[in-house]
Amino acid sequence: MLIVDDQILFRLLANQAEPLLIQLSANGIATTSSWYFRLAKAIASGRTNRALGGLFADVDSPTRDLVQQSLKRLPDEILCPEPKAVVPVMAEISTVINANFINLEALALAVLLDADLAVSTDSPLITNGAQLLHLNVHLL
Amino acid sequence: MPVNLKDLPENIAHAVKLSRAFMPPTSNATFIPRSLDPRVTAWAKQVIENGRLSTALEEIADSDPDLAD
Repeated sequence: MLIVDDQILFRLLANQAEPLLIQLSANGIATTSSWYFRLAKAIASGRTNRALGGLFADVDSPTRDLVQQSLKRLPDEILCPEPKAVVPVMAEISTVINANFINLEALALAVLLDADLAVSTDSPLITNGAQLLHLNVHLL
Repeated sequence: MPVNLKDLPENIAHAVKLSRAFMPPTSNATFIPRSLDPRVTAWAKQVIENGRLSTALEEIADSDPDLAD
């Protein structure tokens, strides 16, 4: 199982997955509510000067439509567990790891699902937390 | 990579066990990532299907000693 951040989620929904991402996704894909929201918000806002908005602006119109439809109803095959399951684990992790909400959610979900994390930017908060929790992080 | 709960602080391991007990079953369907290149998409399908197939074969072998290597 692979938990993907917002940028990688975009690549998956936009049919722009590279071979390594495809290989790592072979056992299933999940994302967090925060990353899902951040991507959906960026695209809904229409701002193309930000990283996520820029990705959206760079693809053709049919792909933009595809991504927008997928964000309105995330494919069932992409897991996005509800907070009721994730928050208790986040709370306990926060007692040993100093991280923000987005990163705590990612770490908690990875532990819950026995998953690796895939991120598009290097984040010491995620990396250090993952190390403490014996999780793998892939920078894609 | 499976997380060994024994490697985690006790409070976290406990929370994980509780949450897992209440999580709904995950879907069996696998999202097949697609690429702009249809050949990569076809390869992706193969990787995923082969991954599932090899897992199924391992499970069968594990349950039947006559099939084990």
